[in-house]
Amino acid sequence: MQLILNAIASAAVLAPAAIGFTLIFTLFRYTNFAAGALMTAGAFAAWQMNDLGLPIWLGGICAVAFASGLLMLSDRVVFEPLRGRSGGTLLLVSIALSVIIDNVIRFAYGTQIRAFDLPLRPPLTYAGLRFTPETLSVIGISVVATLAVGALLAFTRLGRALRAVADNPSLSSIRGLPVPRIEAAGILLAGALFGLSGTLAGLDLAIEPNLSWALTIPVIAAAIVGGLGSPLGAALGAVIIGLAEELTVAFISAPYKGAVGFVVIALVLLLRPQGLLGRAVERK
Amino acid sequence: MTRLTLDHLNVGYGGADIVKDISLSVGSGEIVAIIGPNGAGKSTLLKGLAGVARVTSGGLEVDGTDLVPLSPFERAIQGVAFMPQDRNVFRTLTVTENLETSAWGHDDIRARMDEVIALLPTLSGYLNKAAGGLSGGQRQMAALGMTLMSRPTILLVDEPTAGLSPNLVGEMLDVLANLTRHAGIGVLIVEQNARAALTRADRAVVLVDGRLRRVGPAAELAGEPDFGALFFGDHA
Repeated sequence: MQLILNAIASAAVLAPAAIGFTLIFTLFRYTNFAAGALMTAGAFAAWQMNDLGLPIWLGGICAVAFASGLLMLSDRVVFEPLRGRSGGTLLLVSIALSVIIDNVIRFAYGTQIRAFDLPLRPPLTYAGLRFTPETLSVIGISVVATLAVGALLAFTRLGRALRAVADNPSLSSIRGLPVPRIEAAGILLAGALFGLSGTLAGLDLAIEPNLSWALTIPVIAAAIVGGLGSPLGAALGAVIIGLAEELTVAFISAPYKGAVGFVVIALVLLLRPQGLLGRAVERK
Repeated sequence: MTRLTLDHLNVGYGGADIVKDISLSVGSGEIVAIIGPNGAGKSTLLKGLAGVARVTSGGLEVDGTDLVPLSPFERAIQGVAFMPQDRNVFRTLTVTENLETSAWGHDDIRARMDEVIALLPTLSGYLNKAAGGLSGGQRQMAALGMTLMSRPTILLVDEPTAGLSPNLVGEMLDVLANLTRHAGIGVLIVEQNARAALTRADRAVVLVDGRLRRVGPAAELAGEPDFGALFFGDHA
């Protein structure tokens, strides 16, 4: 049971970012490898605000806004001029962007490990499970955020428009949808999710520039496992990746945790390339 | 009342003009059929009017507004609704969501949906079905409903009966003809099934090699004994 709780906590960190990643993929059809770097930037933004004396929740809101703005800026400067290029080209560009963001963070903050200013409290115990109040917060915030994005996509006018543009941007334009504005809303939403995941990662893990590499592959793996284009699948994929990572730590060795994402991606591409919910989405 | 005016219009992709020197007008509540052999440029003409293909020269106006510099989105706002032949619904959205999304920017979506369903009552049978799972006839009807959600003044319809069973071809064209007259929309329709289209259209234009070969009352063109032989190579 402890393993499952740990897996859910890991999934809670990954899920919002995996949804943001799949949102960008469905809107623009490219793999944004800078997801982890954007999360790291969000974590540092939250830490910076916390270090200046703001409470973590307010720091988290700043992180959401910062990552959102950073993704929008990177889209306008880097990705928008390259719209229509191949997915491979955009993947390479996003890797370069990831390296740039990581190194700007390293330049500004050094390689020192940082952490939020949290009160020292002993772990809680319930039904034999050990957890911290922060773990509960991470899970709760992630679940609420995931449900909120799901509700936005399913029940709001903007959500329907985002799905329509992701489905067929040309038809969207013909039908009178302001495609650039809707795409911009999607970018802001995805950036906000990266910022939120970054803040949650900062509560769960140490905040340092290398965080980017620890997060990128699991986030992409979660989105691929769930089926690219499916936000629900991305959340489900995050749970599977979290579980696989915890099983690896428990039964193999902690250093191999970083390889889990690669292995899962390889297995999914070999056995079910459309991911868990990819086919179900196609049939709708 | 003239709604759409084409004045020596040229349309193409890249450097080459596919449609050349077309002058034409479409009035309110009028159906104009564009017919001609494969490769004549019929669909390209409609795409040029919708902003999907490039107008290289000439004039294009709807109710006196110059459409040439406008994007497909801006043309849609000006009342031009284009129903493409393929990929004309959002497959991952339900029919209801497709209709709602097609009235972006309007607050009276419910009233518009009621209006469209009254015009196309068969839609009510599959409103909650995902558009990707619709039959060919249902999909075309949903696509037509989507175009009507914006209350267009000009409707551009590309091959609405493509892929439909023979009994649905007439039904689809009848629906188009009825709603056009009922709602006062001007319609330009490209239809492979020329004879079926001519029986519902007011006027017809014949396009051959991208140029306007004939314009006239649909009934008159359909009645010409050598019509099929001249333009389609048949003797029907």
